Amino acid sequence: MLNNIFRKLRSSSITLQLTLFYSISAFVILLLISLFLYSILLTALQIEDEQLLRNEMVTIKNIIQQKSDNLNELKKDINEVSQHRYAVRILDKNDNEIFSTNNMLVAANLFGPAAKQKINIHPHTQPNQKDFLLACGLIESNNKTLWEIQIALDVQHERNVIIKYRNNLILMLVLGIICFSLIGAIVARRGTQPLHDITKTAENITVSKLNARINSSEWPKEIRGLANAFNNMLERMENSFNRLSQFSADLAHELRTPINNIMGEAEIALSKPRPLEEYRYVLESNLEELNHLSSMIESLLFLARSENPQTEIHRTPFLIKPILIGICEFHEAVAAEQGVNLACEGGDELLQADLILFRRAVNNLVSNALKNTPMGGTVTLKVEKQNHQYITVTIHDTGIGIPAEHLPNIFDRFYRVDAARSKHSGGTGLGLAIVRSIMELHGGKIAITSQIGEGTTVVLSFPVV
Amino acid sequence: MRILIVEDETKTANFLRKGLTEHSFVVELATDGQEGLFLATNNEYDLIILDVMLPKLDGWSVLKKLREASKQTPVLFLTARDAVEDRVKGLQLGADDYLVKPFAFSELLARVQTLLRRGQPRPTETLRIADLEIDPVRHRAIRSGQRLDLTAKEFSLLSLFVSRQSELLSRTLIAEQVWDMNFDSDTNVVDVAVRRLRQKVDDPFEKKLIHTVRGVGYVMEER
Repeated sequence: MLNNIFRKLRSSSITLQLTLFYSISAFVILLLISLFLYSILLTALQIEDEQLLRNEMVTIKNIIQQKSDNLNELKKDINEVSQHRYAVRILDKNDNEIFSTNNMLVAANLFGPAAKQKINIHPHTQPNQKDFLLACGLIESNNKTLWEIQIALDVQHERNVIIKYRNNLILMLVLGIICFSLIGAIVARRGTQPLHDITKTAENITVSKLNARINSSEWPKEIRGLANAFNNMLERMENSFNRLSQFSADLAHELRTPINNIMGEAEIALSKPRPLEEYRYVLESNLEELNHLSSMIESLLFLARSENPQTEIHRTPFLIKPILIGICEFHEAVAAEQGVNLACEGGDELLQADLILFRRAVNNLVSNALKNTPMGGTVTLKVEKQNHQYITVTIHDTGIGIPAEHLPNIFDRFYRVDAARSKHSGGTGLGLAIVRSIMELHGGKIAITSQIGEGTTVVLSFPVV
Repeated sequence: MRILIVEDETKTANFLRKGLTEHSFVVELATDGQEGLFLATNNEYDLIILDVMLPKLDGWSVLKKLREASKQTPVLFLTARDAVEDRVKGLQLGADDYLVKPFAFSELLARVQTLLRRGQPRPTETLRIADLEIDPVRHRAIRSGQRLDLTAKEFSLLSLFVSRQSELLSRTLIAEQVWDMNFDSDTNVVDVAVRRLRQKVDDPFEKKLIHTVRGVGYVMEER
């Protein structure tokens, strides 16, 4: 049951929590202080009274010892000493009253058992609500009989002071709680105001206003952290969103040309009767365009999947060199035709990676390298182990190179260095984007350097797993 | 050879039936999972082409129930879903191969033929077409009595053509079978390799054996 209350409390408003906590703490502290002060006062007064009674008891005992023969002297002395501050009664051993001051209003039997060595002190309230402190003790009189001394101290006045004090304390407690609760609520409310502001800003952010940011400079340190995190998140979202929009635009553009060709050729072929050979030609041409589109779709799906953070790759250990040699064999015809030398270098490094993806990445890079290298050039594949953390695969060509301004964007989808170049000879324009995706899936890095007229070098760094 | 196609998309089912029938297969068609399962368990087929997304009973369930009924008919899955998990799932459930849409018909045909060819022994005897002879054991190719000078891969490529003569081979299939490259690579590489092979195998001789089928791939046959 208590757990339920706590749980509910924790999930309710911070303002409420703070105010409640603050008020309860203040109340408890004030209460404790009040009780403490009250009990100190009470005790101090009590001690004082008791001390007074003891002192007077001693004084009266002395008087009795000296003057017990002379009753009149005794009465005179005792009256003098008490001076109406307290009442005294003296009883003989048969409980008969020997003497009492005028102001003794408490009945004799209320004074409790008297003892010789110890003074018996206890409080007493009369039927008319008056408060007294009673003391009684025994003393040996001159004729060796035991007399009982009874002293009654009127403590009503003090009682009144204490009651007034107590009432004031209670009043202060109540007022204090109300004040503290109010102050607590106000402070909590002001403290959480930035949160309300952030909420308001967040609510105003829509897809069309992703550039909204929270101005956090004038806020307290703790909220600033939240505001900054929020702003960073917006930044990332805006970037992703822009990239996605750009991508959709690029995609539509890329799809347009092949579809246009297909439609155009088909329309023209159908516009009037044509010889069979022409129909055949158009269908074959369409099939080529469709194959190209199919390729593009497959590549795009691959890219989409590899950007999904949940995608896992299937790593197996394999020797790199045989795989590279296999890729070189794949391209040997093309290399031979172009008069380009294709070579592999490297030792017996073992790599833990996804074999199919690895092949695809290297293949795309070799393909690009061959396309950009003129006759007599070289394309070299090299494997190296960099310290204990990375294995690098380097594809270097002595080709025409890539201008520096294109290098930062070269891995973007559909990015083409030579915009005018026909898309067919350039493939789908997604080859390098796919290579980058593959490296990202492996937790690795890709780096490219190039010199116009001298060649291009791409370095794939795979982390040693 | 009898083939059962379980596919609910009309155009796809029709062109598959048409294409396979023209390649001398006997084709039956089912348009939902239940019908497909019924036909598959009660009749004998050499191969089942099974779409994954089916009404009434999906392809996974059909395959599972088929295998539970101890039917070992080879199954080729067709689907637009491409995730690796789906591929693995299909193979684990007992499928024999998997094709993702869109696919080239020649691709499907080649895979069908590969699946049907399984269980037959590898050729150790000489492969022949017209005046071309391939000795698979000694890695020698001879045409009209002349020994052809081929690289290792060129020989593999030629062997593939000869062993599958009259079958349309797509570039993807060729890349896969000869170089073990199974992704949609820049298929110009295959074109160049075939061109160079032609230079050695066809150009010096009168009869051309390697033919280009535009948009589809290549085929080796006597024409």
